[in-house]
Amino acid sequence: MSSEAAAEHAVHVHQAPTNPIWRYVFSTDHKVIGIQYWILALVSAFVGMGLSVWFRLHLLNQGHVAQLTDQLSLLVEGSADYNAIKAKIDALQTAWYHMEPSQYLGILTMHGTILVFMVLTTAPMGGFGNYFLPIQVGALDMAFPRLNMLSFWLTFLSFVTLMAAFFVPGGSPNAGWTGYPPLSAVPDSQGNGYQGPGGWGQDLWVLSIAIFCFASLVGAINFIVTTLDLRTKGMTLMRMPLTCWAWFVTAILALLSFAVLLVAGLLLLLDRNLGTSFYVPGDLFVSNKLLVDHKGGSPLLFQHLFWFFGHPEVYIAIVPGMGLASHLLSSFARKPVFGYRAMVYAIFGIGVLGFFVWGHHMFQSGMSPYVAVAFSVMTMVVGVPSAIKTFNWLGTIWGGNIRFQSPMLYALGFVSLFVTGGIGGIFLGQNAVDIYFHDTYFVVGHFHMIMGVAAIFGMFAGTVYWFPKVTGKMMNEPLSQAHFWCTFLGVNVIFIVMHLMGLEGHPRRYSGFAFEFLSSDYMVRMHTIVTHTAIFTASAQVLFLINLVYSLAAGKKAGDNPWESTSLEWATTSPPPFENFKDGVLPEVHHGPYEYSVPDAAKDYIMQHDPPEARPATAPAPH
Amino acid sequence: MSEATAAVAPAEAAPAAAAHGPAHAPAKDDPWYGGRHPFAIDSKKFGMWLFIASDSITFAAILFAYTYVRLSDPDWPLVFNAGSVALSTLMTFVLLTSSLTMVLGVAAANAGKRKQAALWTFATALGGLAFIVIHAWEWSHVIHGLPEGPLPLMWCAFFTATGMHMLHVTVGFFYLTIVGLAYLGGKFKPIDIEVAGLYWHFVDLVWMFVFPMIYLMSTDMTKGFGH
Amino acid sequence: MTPVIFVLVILGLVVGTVAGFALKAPLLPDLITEHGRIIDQQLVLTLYITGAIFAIAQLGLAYLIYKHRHRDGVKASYLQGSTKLEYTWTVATLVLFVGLNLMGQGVWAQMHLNEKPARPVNIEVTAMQFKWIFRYPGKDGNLGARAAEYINPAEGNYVGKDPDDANGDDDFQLLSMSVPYGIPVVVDIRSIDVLHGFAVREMRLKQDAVPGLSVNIPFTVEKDGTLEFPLSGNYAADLDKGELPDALKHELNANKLVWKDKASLRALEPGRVWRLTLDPDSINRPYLVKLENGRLNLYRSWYELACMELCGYGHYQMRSQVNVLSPVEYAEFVEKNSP
Repeated sequence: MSSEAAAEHAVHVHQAPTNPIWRYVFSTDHKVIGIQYWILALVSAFVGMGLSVWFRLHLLNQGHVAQLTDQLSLLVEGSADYNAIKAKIDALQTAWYHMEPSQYLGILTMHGTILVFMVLTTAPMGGFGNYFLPIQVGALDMAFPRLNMLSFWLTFLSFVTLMAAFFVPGGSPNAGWTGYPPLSAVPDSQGNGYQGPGGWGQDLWVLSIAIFCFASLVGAINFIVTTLDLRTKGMTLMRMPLTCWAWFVTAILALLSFAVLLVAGLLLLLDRNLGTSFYVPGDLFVSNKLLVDHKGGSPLLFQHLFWFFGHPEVYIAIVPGMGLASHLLSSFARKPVFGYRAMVYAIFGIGVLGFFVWGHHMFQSGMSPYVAVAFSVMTMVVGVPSAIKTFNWLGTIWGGNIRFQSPMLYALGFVSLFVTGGIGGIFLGQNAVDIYFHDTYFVVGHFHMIMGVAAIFGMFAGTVYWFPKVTGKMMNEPLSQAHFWCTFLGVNVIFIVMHLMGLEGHPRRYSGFAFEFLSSDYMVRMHTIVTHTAIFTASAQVLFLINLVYSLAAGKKAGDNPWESTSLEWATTSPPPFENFKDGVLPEVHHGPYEYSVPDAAKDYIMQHDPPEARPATAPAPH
Repeated sequence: MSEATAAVAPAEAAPAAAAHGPAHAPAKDDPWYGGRHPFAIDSKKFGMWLFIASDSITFAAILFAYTYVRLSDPDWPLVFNAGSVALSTLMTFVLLTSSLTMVLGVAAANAGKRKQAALWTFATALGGLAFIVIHAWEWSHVIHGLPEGPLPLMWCAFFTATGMHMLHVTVGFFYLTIVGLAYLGGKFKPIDIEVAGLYWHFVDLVWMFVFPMIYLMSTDMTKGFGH
Repeated sequence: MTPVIFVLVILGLVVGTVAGFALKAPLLPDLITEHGRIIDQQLVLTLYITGAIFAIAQLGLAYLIYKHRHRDGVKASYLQGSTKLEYTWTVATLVLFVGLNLMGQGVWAQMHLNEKPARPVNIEVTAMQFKWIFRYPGKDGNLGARAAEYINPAEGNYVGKDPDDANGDDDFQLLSMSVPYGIPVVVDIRSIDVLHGFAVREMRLKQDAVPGLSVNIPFTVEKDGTLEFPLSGNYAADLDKGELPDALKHELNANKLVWKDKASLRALEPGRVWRLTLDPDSINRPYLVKLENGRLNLYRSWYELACMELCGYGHYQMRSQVNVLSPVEYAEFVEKNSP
């Protein structure tokens, strides 16, 4: 094929379809798909957050119930005091937000699954990555636009399947987002006295995750090929913005880790429905009888397969945030990224090492204790590239001229949360200290801090930073800032208090407090703080919604480059045309991605596609 | 996946790029137009390689699961006899032969012999079909001979690993048939035959792990050829 | 304005977090095992180190935010990195993190890798939905064999004790765990249905109970109890008589130590140590009263045992308790319970 024909073909492919269904619904345009992913993640985030507020209310309630029950045990049955307290307990137990224990576990499981898969995995990659990777590397679209569409609609199917689990008989699955067998593998294993048929929800859960694996696989292939094959002229690997590096590494992680989750889910599905015994040992005594149709399997096999995926998954959630934080710190401090190459190597280091630390989730699981030592040491090693990144972020703003616009606030918030959350990992990564902290609220606080809210701050940052590019309008700055402060304060209180509860040994996934040490005044006080702050923080998210709607309708008009950034998305119009760049002519890249405050340059910043002369010969060589 | 390469310049144009000067707005006939091939590899081919990387991890995980349960059982049964080995050797032979026809198909396509290439591709698909038929017969045979009670782990692993592989062969059969037809009809290019070939060789390669790990390592040759 | 707010918020975050940890008293629940001391040391050391890292990193961030806030006419430096600095902090964090980790390996080896102590007290821990069953070997020190085929709910034989094994003849099982202090104990942790997690905060012990697996963990309880509160009056004479004076009852109640049925009292060492058991018939919570330096102190010697691995709807109520007995009491306990 001659190059002329190729060019003609390219233009032909990149004409916008006129039918709105092909243009905006089943679109192959990476920008539309990016927005679709982003909306899916936003909806999921609000569903997941709503569930968490619900069970926080329930838990606060249970703290009071436990304390009242303690009082009750001292009183004579039938006395006036007794009846008064009894009435109080009954009132609490029938509150609208009260949950039955298995319902609590179901809501908990759905909260975790929705947020991990539908928010933390989709938004940074599928949302922002889809929209901006092709533009930032200077391409017309992703390498495989139709596969890209397939990837989104598979994700959507996975989302619908997961939501369906709420409504099937028996309700949502209640084995936790980790779905450990035998609880998840043996439908009869719900325990004596379990109310409800059960089973369906768990099957839908596995099915949803399996579909999600396919979607991620297709997406990952697309991202990797786009990054390596479709870069525009001059966009060498070492001139890519760190966001692109982050998406690239994330895609590699997704490519290799979801393949294993698929197998973990497949075997679970077979164990549940076709009588295999990969995860189910023989002689289980469940529902008051011996289980005779399984024998020989090992529950630990699932844990190995699951966490082989699960740990890289943590990085899938956080690495795009790291890339974006680097990008924004540089852009708003008007300074080159400190140690660009070190940042690239650190991202790769995290990605590679991330595959060798899964065992730290299993220190107390009954896995060989020798292996635990190796995993523990590897875990501490993976902390090193994370520390490098933190130092380099501080180095990036050091000597800068920081503009405190809302994207920068979220990026700085990300750094702060990343430090706080990362530090919990130094406790949990040590097998000896983990003996105390394993499966306590310390773990809950830690992973929410780092892969939960830190990653979500990355998404907030991405939203305010790129909103003008996507819509052509600026987001409202005071509203963004108010939202930032409320959320930043709120999440810090919630999750640091959870660390403190972990110090007291509070177990995870308890729907009530039958223990003396859990109904102590200290614990109930801590639960009260967490629940109240959670309600406050969740309410503050309304500011974000209002901001989105208001800005979309009446936002200030944005120029092509409102933040004076250098990467290629700012070289095109806001919003970009269908073919990304004017007339489909790709820009040519002559500069690194972070050429801010170059000595002797005419401007404060040199955009990547500025002509070579824009960079004075007297300036020091780029990295 | 036909749109994949459309957006990028063809591989043979890449050398010309080096001679190209630093024009700021490349014309549409510029070999840089629409991106470039930093690694001089076709996007579809690269995509298939990535799929293979991911899929090999999937099979590795299944074989890991098999190894894991097998190692935790000191009395792992040797369920196959010489007869089963003979049959699985025949299946191996059929599959490997189909790899050979695939190579011939790719070579013919690259040489521009459209009809010949399509025929070799169909022959490959037929090889796959033969494999599926023999395999299905073996499955039904095994299913009829299953013991009462819980399914032994050996058979759990057998059905999962070979079932997953057979799924890949089945997908490959349709994939090859469609690619062969479309190539014959002029809709597809030689690269499409090559990419399909990559997939087919991968599926064969997986069998080269399944065959020794599932069959040979679970065989007791002293059992002879009986059932 | 914004940088100032940012600095204040980060200051608040650092002060609040450090204060939250520093003022939490006690930092950790009572400690009763030997290996737990090393775990606590390691934990506290990690807390100091990470506390310092946390404060330095956050305050550094605040400092840079303030120092390099936007000011008109100021141009940012074109600093692209410093290889020397980067090497320094890479090596420094590597040494710090890995070094810290290796310091904790001793106690891990003691719990998991070293040879189990000779002639320990063996206790079999069976987890099931949603209770714990503890089987003791009786006087012969040997547990009888077990197999799933012998499980018989009607006879309460969930453990699957082999009725034909003579070793098991004097075995007995209870729903709470009693251990002697000062003598090595090995618990054999197992489950008969789904995953459970054996965890006692005060023992710094945690181990998943996995069906199909049996995990042996050794420990030695080194304290007969942990101080609950000092008693103000002098009740020694009454205690020796085996009577619980009303004044003492009031004092216990005032300290939120309350019970329903009755209390039992006996002198372990007359004039010096008494065993006070609240609710002996139902809940059975053992305390010790000790005369020390002319004062009476009340010691708690029971601890809550929790399930730490999600095991179904009753997960949160899968509670049991560990009672710490003196070696003499433990011998009596075995004697009393052996069939």
